[in-house]
Amino acid sequence: MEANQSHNAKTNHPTCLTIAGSDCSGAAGIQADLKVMTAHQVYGMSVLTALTCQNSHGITGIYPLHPSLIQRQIDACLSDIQCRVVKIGMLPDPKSIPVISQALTKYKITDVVMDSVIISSMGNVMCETPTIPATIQHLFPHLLVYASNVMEAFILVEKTLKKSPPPLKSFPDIQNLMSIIHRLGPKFVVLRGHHVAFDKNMMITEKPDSKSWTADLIYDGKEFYIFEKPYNTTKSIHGESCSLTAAIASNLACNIPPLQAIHEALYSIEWAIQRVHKKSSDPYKSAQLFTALGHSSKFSGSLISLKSENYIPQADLTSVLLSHIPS
Amino acid sequence: MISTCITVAGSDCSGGAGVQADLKVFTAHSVYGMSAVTAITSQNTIGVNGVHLIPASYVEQQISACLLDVHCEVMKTGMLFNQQILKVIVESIDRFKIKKVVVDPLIATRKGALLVMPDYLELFVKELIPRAEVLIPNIAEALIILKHMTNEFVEIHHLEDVKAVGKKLIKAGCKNVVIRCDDIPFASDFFCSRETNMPPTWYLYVLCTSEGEVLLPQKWLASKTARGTSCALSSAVASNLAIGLDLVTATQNAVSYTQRALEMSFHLGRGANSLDYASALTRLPYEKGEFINFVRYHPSITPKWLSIVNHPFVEQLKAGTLSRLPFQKYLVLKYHMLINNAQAAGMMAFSSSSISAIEHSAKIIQAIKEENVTHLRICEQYGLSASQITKSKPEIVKSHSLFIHDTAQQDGLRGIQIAMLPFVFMIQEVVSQISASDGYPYVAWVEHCKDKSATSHIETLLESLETNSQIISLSKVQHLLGILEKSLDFERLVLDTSSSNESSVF
Repeated sequence: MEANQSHNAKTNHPTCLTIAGSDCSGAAGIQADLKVMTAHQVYGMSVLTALTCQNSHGITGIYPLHPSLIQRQIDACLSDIQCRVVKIGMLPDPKSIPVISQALTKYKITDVVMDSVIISSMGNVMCETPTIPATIQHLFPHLLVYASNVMEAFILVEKTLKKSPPPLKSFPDIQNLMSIIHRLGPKFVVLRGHHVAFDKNMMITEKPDSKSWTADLIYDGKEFYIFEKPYNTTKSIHGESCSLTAAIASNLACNIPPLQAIHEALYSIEWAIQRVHKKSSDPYKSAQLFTALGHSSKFSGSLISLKSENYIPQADLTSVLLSHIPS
Repeated sequence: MISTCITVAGSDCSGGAGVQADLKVFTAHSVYGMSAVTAITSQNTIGVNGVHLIPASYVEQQISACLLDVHCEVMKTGMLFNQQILKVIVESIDRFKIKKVVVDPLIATRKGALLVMPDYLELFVKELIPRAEVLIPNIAEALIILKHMTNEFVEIHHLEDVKAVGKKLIKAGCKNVVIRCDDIPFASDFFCSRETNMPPTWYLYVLCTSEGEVLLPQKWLASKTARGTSCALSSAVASNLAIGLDLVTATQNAVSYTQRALEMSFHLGRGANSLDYASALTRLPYEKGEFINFVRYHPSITPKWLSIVNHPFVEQLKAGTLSRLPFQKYLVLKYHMLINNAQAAGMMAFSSSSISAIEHSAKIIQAIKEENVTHLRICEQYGLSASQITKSKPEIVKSHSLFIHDTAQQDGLRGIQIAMLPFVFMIQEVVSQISASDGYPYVAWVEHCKDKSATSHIETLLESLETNSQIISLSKVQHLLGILEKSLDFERLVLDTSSSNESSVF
């Protein structure tokens, strides 16, 4: 079926397409994305790139889909339903990348949010090595937002440069990492730092204590926006990463400007995580996370802007930031 | 413990059906959804243009990954595509001892065109149906399954024919069945409207169990058709079962949810409408100014109201053939119930903390006083003296008194207003339709009921309910529906008592 843009029905209902793998346990992949979009009252569509058998203990099987099948799913959605926001997740092999890149161009998708999935939260490698340079070359120029965690971003840059970048030792090193990624194409780079603990001198420490802190960062090519918070030794919740990018995409679909969309998504994730009972088993932590997520109207808070060259950690900043999170 | 549910179905990339629709429905109910994908379909609002089957062994791996890790008692099955996958599902149900399986057959279109091979149908009936807590076919599928199980056929002309199909399926071995009458609008008399050229009124869902049938009619929405209603209904039933509700309540809630999603459906592509799966989220299930319509047409209310409208007493009242004695009994019972309402309002005034609230209760009492003066005068015209009416208090009136006092105590003014709605419905939908011409035996009563000035307090009641309906919670809505149900039960009891030869109320 030949696409015909002029025939697409006009609608006020926000829509969003996710292109990602399937996580049967419902905590990641298109399943997580659809839950987040539904919670934001955004109509979600999903193109499967692979089927995975996974649960809170790990991944036992990956069933990749042929690029032509991915193509057919994308065409079925975008040739019929108007959509300008696409979230990209797991891409298991490099062959699917040109298909996706061409579709983004063909259907004039303006807001692309990507969450690279190289290593799962439990350490499993999720994609073939050639996938990363192909992603950088073909998809990054399309990106409005790239969102990930520090560890994942480091590996991305490492495999892209084909040599090890300087090891991350301090907060400025992470800022530099974000600059490198920004030059690869995304207009906004978002890194969640919950894996990394800083000491009072802004050095990364392997032995966090009660005074250690961490931060989520946004970089728009000019300024760094920093959300400082106490370092929490609790392991991350399965599905956090997917939820963040899906929430950003949902906010964009609701016509919220990019910086605010990212900001509100970060807050909604933080708000939801605060409400998860720590004693729950891993699957039910994910379940509570999705239940707590919702539209940005639930949350309130102001954006905090800090120039990178003048940044000095302040004790009261944490309390100011956390006070924006409803208790 | 968070409620969980797993769906086993195909993938619809456009999000309107399949596991995608199911996950949206689960999320709307705050149920944690898991999914095993049986096939990748490329489809949109216009149709399906490709299907890629997943090997049965991989379907099994997906199910195992979920159920070995997360406690789950409810499974919903959708499009299973072939016998190999169907066998894997059956084995998984047994292996993981799934307590409640909700089966959306997906074996035929609403027109009756078969979607599966005969061998699949054979296995489906033999192995999956016995394990299903509830089967949710459209009427065409129900007939196909019935023929396969019993070699019987039922022509559908009336609601009773649908019930007959359900009964036969139960008798043939199904535990429970919810029949969706897709594509068949019913008229107000429950005959197929296309056969009788009557305007469409109802979209029918019928829940059939071994204990009987539960009728769940919904308003026919002529301008609204959408993809995915079978996914929405079966997933919503599964969600409510996962939450822990019994099947009847689960089905009522699911029908209400599906109807709401259909009412709020929107146009995205060039083909069918898309259901609004998220419409149940946090929002009240009615728009401003629509609260009374919502409660009036709620699936738990409509059957009770219909049993009143179709009661022989009401039928005879409308036809003018109702004899005097039952009518006299009715008037007497109505008198006492109004007194109960006045007493309840007095109780509320007593416990009110503000003078304006006391004033409000006083107005109710005043309105009832004026109504009763007229009521007694009308009773005299039909051979009832005031002393006959007031001297005794029938047992049913005492029960109603307890009910109305409890309602006032727990729910205040709004509770009483809800409890008085059956009276309003009777005026609006029954009495106002009576053309009291010469020869009609109760002209004075009908004229009084129609008199605007005499029933102005009804308008006040409705306006007050509507005004305050936007500031209550979802659980409160559910509670108020319960009050209305009980109030309708009393209304029905009044009709039964009035019609009974054994009863004596004066």
